[in-house]
Amino acid sequence: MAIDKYEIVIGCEIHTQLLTKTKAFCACENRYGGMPNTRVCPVCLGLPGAMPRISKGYVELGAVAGHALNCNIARFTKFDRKHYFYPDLTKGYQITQYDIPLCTDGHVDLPMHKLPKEQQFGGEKCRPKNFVGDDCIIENGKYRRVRVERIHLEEDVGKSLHLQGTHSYIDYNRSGTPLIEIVTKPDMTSPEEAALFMETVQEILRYVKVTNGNLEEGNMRCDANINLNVWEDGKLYHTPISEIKNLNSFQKIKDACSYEAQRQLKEFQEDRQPFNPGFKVTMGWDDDKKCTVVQRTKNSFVDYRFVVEPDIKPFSVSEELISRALEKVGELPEAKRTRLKKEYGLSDFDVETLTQTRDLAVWFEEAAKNAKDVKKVANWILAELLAVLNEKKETINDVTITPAHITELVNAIADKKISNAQGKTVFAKMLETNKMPSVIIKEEGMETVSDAGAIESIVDKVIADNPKAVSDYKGGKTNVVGWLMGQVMKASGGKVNPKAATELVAKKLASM
Amino acid sequence: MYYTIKETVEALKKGEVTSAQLVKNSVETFEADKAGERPLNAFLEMYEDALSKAEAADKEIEEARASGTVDALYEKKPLLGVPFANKDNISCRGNRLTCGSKLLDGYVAPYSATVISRLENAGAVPLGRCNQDEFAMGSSTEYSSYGATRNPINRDYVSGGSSGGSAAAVAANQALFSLGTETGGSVRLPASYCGLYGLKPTYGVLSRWGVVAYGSSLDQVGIMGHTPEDIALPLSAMCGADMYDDTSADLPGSDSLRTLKPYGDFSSLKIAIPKQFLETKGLDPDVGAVFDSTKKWFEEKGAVIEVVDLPVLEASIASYYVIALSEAASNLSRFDGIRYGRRVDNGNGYDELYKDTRSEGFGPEVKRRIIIGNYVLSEQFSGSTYKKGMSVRARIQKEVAALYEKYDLILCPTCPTPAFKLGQKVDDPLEMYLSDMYTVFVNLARIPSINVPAGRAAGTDGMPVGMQFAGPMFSEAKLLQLALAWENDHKGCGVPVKE
Ligand SMILES: [Zn+2]
Repeated sequence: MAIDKYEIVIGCEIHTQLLTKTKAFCACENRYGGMPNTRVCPVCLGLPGAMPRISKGYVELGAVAGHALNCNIARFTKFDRKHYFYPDLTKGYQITQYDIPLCTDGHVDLPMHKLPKEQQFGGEKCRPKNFVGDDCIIENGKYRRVRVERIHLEEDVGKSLHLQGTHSYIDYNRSGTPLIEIVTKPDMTSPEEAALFMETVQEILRYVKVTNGNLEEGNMRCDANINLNVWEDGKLYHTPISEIKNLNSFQKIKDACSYEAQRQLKEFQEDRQPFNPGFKVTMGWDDDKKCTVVQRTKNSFVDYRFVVEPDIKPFSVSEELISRALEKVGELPEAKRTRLKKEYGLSDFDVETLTQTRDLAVWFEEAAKNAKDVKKVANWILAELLAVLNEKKETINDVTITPAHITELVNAIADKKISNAQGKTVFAKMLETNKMPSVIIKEEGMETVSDAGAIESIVDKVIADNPKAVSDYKGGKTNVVGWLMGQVMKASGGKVNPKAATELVAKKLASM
Repeated sequence: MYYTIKETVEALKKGEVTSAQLVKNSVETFEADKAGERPLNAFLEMYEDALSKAEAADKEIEEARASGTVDALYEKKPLLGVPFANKDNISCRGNRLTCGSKLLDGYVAPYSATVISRLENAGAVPLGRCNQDEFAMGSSTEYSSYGATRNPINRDYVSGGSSGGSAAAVAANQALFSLGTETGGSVRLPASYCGLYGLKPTYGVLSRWGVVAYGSSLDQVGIMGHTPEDIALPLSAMCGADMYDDTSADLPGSDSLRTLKPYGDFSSLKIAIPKQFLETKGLDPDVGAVFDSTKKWFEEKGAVIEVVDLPVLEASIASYYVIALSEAASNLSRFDGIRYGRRVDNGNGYDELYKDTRSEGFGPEVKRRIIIGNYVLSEQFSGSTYKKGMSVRARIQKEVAALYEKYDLILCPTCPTPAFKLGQKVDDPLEMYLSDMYTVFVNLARIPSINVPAGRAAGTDGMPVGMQFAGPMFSEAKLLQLALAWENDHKGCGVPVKE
């Protein structure tokens, strides 16, 4: 018996915390950290008699996420209860959406250039099982499409802290935080793709301001469902599915899926566990030992006993909310990159950096709007502004100058009102004082003299003051032109337009 | 203790009595009864802060009387100084709340139910919490962890359940009116057994915020009192949508409740009696006789009574138990001993902690219902029993609503039998479940219904028999007007004993 080949099959469930002001079903503030159990109330503690009520903006943010991941938004939906016992769960059930999720049938296109070369396109490896045709290969292999089965709304649970020995402590500050759960089809074929999926989703959802996407703060975590298709002596086998829970970094997804794939292959070779569609093993990832650990075996079938949440009326999602959500989505990062490249002729690298966040991209385009040289606008932002921000550990949202400041600065240089070198001085002053470049240039007396009459009177004076230079020129020493120019610049305090002045000096000398 | 709210308010206004005296009087009666040979066990506890709340009310009344504004004060606070009995599953801030269960031993409610705070805003004084079937599961208040409640009319008999304590407290004149809750008839049934008026309003008319849930989609707070007016007044103080309860609703026409008028024009009144309720095998002949005399009263007044066929009602008990127990199993999940109440921890990990806490904390009837509920919801049945229950319920709602397009009222007995003796049915849960057969369709259809004391049953030492008037959604005012017309002609059927 010989294994001919095998394929990895991965589907993801991503939990993301939403940026609502309050928790999902109560008025407690939705924020990370703080003294344990300080942001709690009867509702999120599940006290007797407490009832949930949907927080403002919760459903809309879910719809924004749905639009951003190309889903259909339900016009009518409801909440359900999912039951299990665990101390971090205050009510013995979690409020979630079971059979009518808010969003369905979406997709995310993964940029293939971010994957290792050998995984980028072509070949069977790229084609997920059960996928109709080659629809998953978008734009000649530039993108790989991962289908999103559903996105539903769900409340988070509390956080337990197990101390060595006898005690466990629970912080319910996180209990009731609004989440969305994004469930994909098993369309990913490598650990790298799974990690890229999460990265792409993080970028998109941050872009549309659905979430902070902060992995360290648990804003996003991923459960990966993984198994293998194995061909042995021409016959196809499926290994049992493992669900690896709570992967909260791209590296952990890669590591855990790689490890689990190898473990399943080994298990297949050793004892050929049969595939059973209804059951899966629940695993955890031990990041210290770098291995997956069984949490629940497939024999312990979990029955969540779903019931319609009777404390919240089933509700209509208005067309108004849906179109408002769509408006909030706007242009997504990948589309924006493509457009910026085409529209402004910027490099891949420039575009990549300028679209890191939506706010930066918007800021850039605002500055570019009336600029005479868009490339220069990009350069000023990338080389100068971002350097300052990075140093101060700030983002574009902390900047006090407006995009118009950059526009004016770039235009002043393009119009040769100031030199590039002067531009740097103006830039520094501008950040310091928030004054517009034109104001700074005037105040500092920096504007170049381009007025022909004014230049001429300076040139005439310099020539009159330096008769020796004039006679040297007549004697054939043409390099005195340069020296005389230096004198003109000096006399003008560096303000004359150098090109016009040089021309004039040469013309005067020649005519003498 | 005065007999009605109206009488009491007049006395308070004139200074003939103080709220503090009313509270002290109730506490003394309660203590004396507790020390007696066969205590009623209507109240589990008198609230420690009842007296101070009463004294605060007295101060307000006194000041207003001094400045001649006492009538204006009662315009604003129509229940000022009036003590009422609460049920043990409705939160009253700072006071214990056990739902008749050992599992909640020691739990103190950190916030008040909306119904309580609205009554307090109207000046009423929460007196204490009344006994009930554990977590409101039962039809006789014999399933309380704190012992059964006896019926004040005859202490050999049950007071009905699950709000039996609330009914007994009013029937025994220990409180003027009381709050109960019901999921399938738990207000109307004890009102019927104790000879009281008991209203189950339209689903959502009284907020459930702070009321410990049994079957959330069926649960409703109800009111018990000696007269329809004693129900109308508290109802008008408590009703209306509540931002804390997504399922709550406004009650149109609630302003007519403050000055309740008896119903006048019976000639246009069309009454339906479902055939299914007449053909019941278990209908007690005494109850049948009272039913007949009730029909006669309506006919003499000029109403038209017709027997209608509503076959879907035959499925109501089954649909009711599927939904109620599914939701109950879910709602009771939060009682796990982790955050409040009693915890039994043998140090063997979570699973054992849950198992031991819930095994020791819940009584047998609650366990039975949790098990049935979870069985119905389990994925082995892919939730199909639950879904079926829900779809039958939708049909009941639809067909009952359709009936009300032609009729104003459904008339039927509240219970097929009068009160039974303590211990008679406690080991026969199925027999007990059938007590609810005339009441559950009301909860399933979310409509309002009132129990009126209609007569006595010779066969059971003359225990009271109640009839129910069930109207379409939001017809509370009309039902209370009809009940007042009935009361004016019958005077409580001679059931309650005036002191
Ligand atoms: Zn809260």
